[in-house]
Amino acid sequence: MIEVNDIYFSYDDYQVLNGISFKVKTGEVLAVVGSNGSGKTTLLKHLNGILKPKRGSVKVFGMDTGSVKISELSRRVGLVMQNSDHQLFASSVTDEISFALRNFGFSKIEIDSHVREVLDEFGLYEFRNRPPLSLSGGEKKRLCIATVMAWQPEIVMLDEPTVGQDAVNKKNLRKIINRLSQDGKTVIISTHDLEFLWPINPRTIVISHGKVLTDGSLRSISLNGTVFASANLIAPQLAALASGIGLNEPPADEAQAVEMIKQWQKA
Amino acid sequence: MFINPFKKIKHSKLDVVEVKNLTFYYSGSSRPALENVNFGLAGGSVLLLVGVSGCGKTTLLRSIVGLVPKFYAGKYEGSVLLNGKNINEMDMPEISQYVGYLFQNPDNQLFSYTVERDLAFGLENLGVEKSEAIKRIDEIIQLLSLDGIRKKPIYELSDGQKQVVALAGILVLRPKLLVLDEPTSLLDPRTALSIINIVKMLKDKFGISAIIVEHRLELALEISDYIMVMAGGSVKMFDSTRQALRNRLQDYGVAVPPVISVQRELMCDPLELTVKDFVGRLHAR
Ligand SMILES: Nc1ncnc2c1ncn2[C@@H]1O[C@H](COP(=O)(O)OP(=O)(O)OP(=O)(O)O)[C@@H](O)[C@H]1O
Ligand SMILES: Nc1ncnc2c1ncn2[C@@H]1O[C@H](COP(=O)(O)OP(=O)(O)OP(=O)(O)O)[C@@H](O)[C@H]1O
Ligand SMILES: [Mg+2]
Ligand SMILES: [Mg+2]
Repeated sequence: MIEVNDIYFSYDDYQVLNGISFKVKTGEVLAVVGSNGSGKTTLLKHLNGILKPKRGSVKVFGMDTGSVKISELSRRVGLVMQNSDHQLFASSVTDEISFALRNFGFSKIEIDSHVREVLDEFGLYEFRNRPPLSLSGGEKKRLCIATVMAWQPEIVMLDEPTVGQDAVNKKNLRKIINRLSQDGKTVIISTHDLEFLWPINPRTIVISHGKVLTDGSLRSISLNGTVFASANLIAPQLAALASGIGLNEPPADEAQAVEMIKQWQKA
Repeated sequence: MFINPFKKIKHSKLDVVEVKNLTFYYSGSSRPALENVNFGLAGGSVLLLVGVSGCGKTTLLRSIVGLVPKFYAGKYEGSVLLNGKNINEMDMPEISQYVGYLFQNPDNQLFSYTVERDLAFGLENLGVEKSEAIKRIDEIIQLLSLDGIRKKPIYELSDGQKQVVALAGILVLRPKLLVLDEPTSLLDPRTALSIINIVKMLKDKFGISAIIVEHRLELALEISDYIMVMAGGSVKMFDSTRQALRNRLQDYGVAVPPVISVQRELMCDPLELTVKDFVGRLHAR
C-alpha cells in the first residue's frame, strides 16, 4: 500500500530525512513518533506527494509520488494537518466539510448524508452554522478530522490528532481509528501523546536524526529505555510501572496493572 | 462534589488573580461561555485548569488577560482583578507586564521574522535597554535550549518549536503570573516535562504563579497546587491537587493518569503523583 524506499529530504541545505525506509500494509495503523523537529510532519507530507524526496522513492498504491498528480493522491490519501488554522477556510462548519466533497464530485444526496454523519460522529452538529475560526481549539481539531473523514480516503493521516482533545474525545477517536482499520483503511498517526496510543498498541516507528530508530508494536518498544531517551520520549506510565517493579511484560490497561501489582506484592 | 473555592484560598488584596461572578456570552451566542465563575489564586501557586473541550477554559484565560472583553465582543458581567486592580482600569501594555499569556495556537503570537527578533520585539516595546535586552534573550535561549534555532525564520520552525519560542517570548518579559493555554500540546514528552519543570523553578525561586490548561494531566500534576474543573462555562470543582484526584473527575470528562487510577483501585493513601514515586513506595513496603 505504502512503500517508502530510502528517502532523503532537506529544506534548502537543512537535512531532515536521512535514509528512511518502511512499508505499510492495507488496514494497518502506524504511529510515527519522535522529538520536536525530528521530521514527522515532513515525512507525512511525503506520503501524499506534497513533498517529494530528494533521493529514494515513495510509492503509494503502487504509484510513484514523483510521477502522479497531487490532486489524484489527495483524494485517496487524506491528511489532517497539525495546525487546524492552516486547514480551515470556509465560512461555516457545514461548508468546510462539504467543500472537498463537492470538489471530488460527490452527489448532493451523498454530500448531505456524509456531512450529517461526521457532524454527529465528532459532536459538531450544534456548531454546523458557526464560522470555523470561532470554534474552540479542540472543536477546530475535530472539524479538521471530520472534514477529511467525510470523503472517506483510503489512507487517513492524522498529524497530532489529540491536541486539545479531552478524555471523552480521545476515546471516541481511538474507536474511530480501530473502526477505520477494521474497514480496511490505513491510518497513519504522528503524535507525542503516547498515553493516547497505548490502548491501541499500534505498530510504531521512532524517528531520530532523520532515520528510523526502531519499528515495532508500541508495547514491545516501550521497554527500550535507550531508544526512548534518544528520541526525547518518555515511556508511557504503564510501561514505566512494569519496568519499575522488574516485569518485562507491560500491562495492556489499568485493570491488568492492578492485577499485576497484586501478584507482585504476594510474591 | 462541589467545593466553594473561597473556602480553600485565603482571599486578600494580594491574590494575583481574583475572578468574581464572571459571566460572558460571545456576541450572537445564546449560551454563556462563562457562567458565574468565582475563584482566586494566591501568589506563588500553580492552578491546573481542566474540563472537556469547549467548556470555557480558553475564554476564562482570555478574560484573565483582558482580551475578553477588550477584543472579544459580548455580554460581560462580573469582574477580574489582577493584583487587586480591575482589568477594566488597565490597558493592554500594563496587563502584559504583569501577565504572560501563551495562546493555545503559537501562530497567533509569533510575528517577527526570526526567533531572536521575536524575543527582542516584546522587550523593545516595553522600552528595555538594549544591553539588558541582549542579556535576557541569551538567558532565555539557554533556559529553553533554543540555541540551534535562534537565527531561524519563524516560518521554518516545526509546530513544537514554535510553541517553545512563543513561551520564550513571554518568559523574557518576566511576568508575575503565567497564563498558559495547553503549553505542552505540541511538545515531545521530554521537552514538555522540561517546560513544566521551568514553571516549577520560576515558582520556587521567584514566587511566580501560573494558571495552566492541560489535557495531559500526567505532565503537570507534580507542580500544581490546585485543580479547577470547569463544565459548561462554570466551575464545578476547586481543590488541592491530591484531593481533586480522589474526586470523580471522570464525571466531567477528565481522565486521571493511569498511575493515579491504579492507586485509587489499590486504595493507596496518600496518592503518589508520579510513577517514580509510586514505584518507590511499592518497593518500600
Ligand atoms: N519550510 C521549512 N524550511 C526550513 N526548515 C524547515 C521547514 N519546515 C520544517 N523545517 C525544519 O525541519 C525539521 C523537521 O520539521 P517537521 O515539522 O517535519 O518536524 P516534526 O517532527 O513534525 O516536529 P513537531 O513535533 O514539532 O511537529 C525542523 O527542524 C524544522 O525546523
Ligand atoms: N469567538 C467566539 N464566538 C462564538 N463562540 C465562541 C467563540 N470562541 C469560543 N466560542 C465558544 O465558546 C465555548 C467555549 O470556548 P473555549 O475556547 O473557551 O473552550 P475551551 O474549554 O478552551 O475548549 P478547548 O479545550 O477545545 O480549547 C465553545 O463552545 C466555543 O465554541
Ligand atoms: Mg509536526
Ligand atoms: Mg481552549
